[in-house]
Amino acid sequence: MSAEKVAFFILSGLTLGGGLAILFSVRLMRAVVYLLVSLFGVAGLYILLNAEFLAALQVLIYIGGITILMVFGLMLTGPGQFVNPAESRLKAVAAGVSSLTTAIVLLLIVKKTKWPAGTQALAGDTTAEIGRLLLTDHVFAFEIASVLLLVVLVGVALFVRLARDGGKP
Amino acid sequence: MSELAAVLPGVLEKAGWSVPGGLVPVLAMFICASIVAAAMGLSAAVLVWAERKLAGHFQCRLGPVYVGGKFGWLQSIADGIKLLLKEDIIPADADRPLFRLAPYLVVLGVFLAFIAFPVSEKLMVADLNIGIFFILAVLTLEVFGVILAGWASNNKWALLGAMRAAAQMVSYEIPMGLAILPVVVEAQSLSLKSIVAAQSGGMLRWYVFQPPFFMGVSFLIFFLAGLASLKRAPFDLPEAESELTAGFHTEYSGMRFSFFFMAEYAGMILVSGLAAALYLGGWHGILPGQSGAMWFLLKTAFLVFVMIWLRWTLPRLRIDQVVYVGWKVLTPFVLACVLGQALMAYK
Amino acid sequence: MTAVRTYFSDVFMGLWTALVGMSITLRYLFSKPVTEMYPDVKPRTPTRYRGIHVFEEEKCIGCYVCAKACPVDCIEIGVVRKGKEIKITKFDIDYQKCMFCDLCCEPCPAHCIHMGPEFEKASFTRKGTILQFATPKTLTEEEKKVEKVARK
Repeated sequence: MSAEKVAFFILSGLTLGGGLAILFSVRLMRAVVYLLVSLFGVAGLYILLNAEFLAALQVLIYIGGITILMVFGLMLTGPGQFVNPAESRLKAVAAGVSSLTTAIVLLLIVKKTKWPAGTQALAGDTTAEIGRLLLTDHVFAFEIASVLLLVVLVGVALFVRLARDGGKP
Repeated sequence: MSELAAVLPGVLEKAGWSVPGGLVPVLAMFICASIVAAAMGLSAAVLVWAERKLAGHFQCRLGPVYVGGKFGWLQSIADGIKLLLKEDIIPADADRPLFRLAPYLVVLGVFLAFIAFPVSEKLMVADLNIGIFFILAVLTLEVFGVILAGWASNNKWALLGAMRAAAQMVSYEIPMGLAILPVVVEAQSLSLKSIVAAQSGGMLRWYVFQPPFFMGVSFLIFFLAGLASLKRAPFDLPEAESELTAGFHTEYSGMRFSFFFMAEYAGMILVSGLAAALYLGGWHGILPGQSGAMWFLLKTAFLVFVMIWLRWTLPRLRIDQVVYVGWKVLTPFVLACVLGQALMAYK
Repeated sequence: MTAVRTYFSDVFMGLWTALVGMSITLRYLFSKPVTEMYPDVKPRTPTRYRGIHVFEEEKCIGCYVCAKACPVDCIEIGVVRKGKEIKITKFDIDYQKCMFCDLCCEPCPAHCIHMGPEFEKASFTRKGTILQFATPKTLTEEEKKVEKVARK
């Protein structure tokens, strides 16, 4: 087995193991830490694919941004058990059914997709190429995403204002 | 590291040790990692001493004078031994695994960032394609560790410190990331090696002194945001001794506490070194043709001195002032710099 | 427009005042430290410093004036008189009480008690803070009978 394969199995183990641990942990803060592990695994997989820029983005945005925001929100919760699995039978059944359907659909898609195995060598420096593509071929999607984010930003500011000023815009 | 891996087999042969060929890169990695770790620990020790000494003199005092002869130069070694011998306390109501994990995350963030640290043309662990971006990315781990430490301690001061750290992080991360953009636009690369290489040829080629000073302003912004990311005065709100006991590390003692300490001081070198590489020409000297690790270390030392100087000059800001500075001052200014530099590049 | 001007002047003032502060601390960095290396180098107390008393036993006439003048009653004196011969058997000052007011030295007709330069007389016991200035003497039985001790 080559070193790359070993690294692949370790990293995918981290990713999947982290994901499973999130599912089975009942403490929210620990779940966030497992999420961190899982995201790290994904970043490592990106590095294996020579997509260093994506890996760094993954770390910067998901670990540095998303998980920290989650932690910021969760910080006001206590350290004890937060989720009680035996709380509601109905909820458990509903969750089971929905996740089962999602799993089946996903599996079907995975099976149906032909995974094209790339034969050409991996690109050396992906950063410049990503930048070029974002501002030429995919500029529309890029701008749409920015506009969406801007709308969200303004909307949140507006809502906070409304709440603070007592409903008068 | 690749140079080391290339030289290593010959060295090993001379020493008479037989190492299987596949293990040589792994060995090189270990050697690099231990050099970085040792340098981190040592520089933290030297910096702690320097900070205490300078802090003393800034206030017309002497600082440490007794340990190790005239200038108290063994003070931080003595402190380190003291910290090693101290009891490792974990509060009963703390979240034990997370409490233990947090200091390692903090150190890991800074440690990883040193991989792309450009001391000189040869003296860097790895010249990554995305060098500066990589460093910014892994530095966020440190903040995560800090927040985790504050939450896991299950202590009101620690929690307040952690919340401040999170609020502060949200406000400084954006100017810090944007402040490197003018440099990246000018150098057309994210690799620290080529960014520094683009500044060769004397002091006037350094990016800070490039008219119309878009990069000069962004240097200032990067430095301020870097101070905030290190949680140093005037942005030391997460610690805030006078209000929060010791902030996020209130409950930590002994070696775990010293991890936070070490990360802070190693982080000072990291941020100063980055600023030196990005804006002050890295390993290039003042006159054209001069270069070497010495110049880089001198610039870094100067910036570290400025950090210490600032700390003992300015009082602590309030959290709303930090957020104000981050969002309403640094961000607009840095956006203007990015725009200006991009227009310059477009021509 | 004023808002814009205030904003920019605020930003400028923020930077400028920081620089002013830094120039002040830089000046301090190169000024002489004021630290006194106390246990290693003892500071010289000023003349007329009111420290631990200096007592000249050979001048003392045992008149108790100092003990009477003392507002906190911290001086205790023992005297044996035989004709014109005066023997000071006891001259204790309790430094837990003494407030270094100098009132004992002023009325002394023989000028035998002064405020001295010494100040290091910390002690671990209460007894240790009572200093005995008179040289210890062995008294005969007869002398013990005539010893007069001013205790207040």
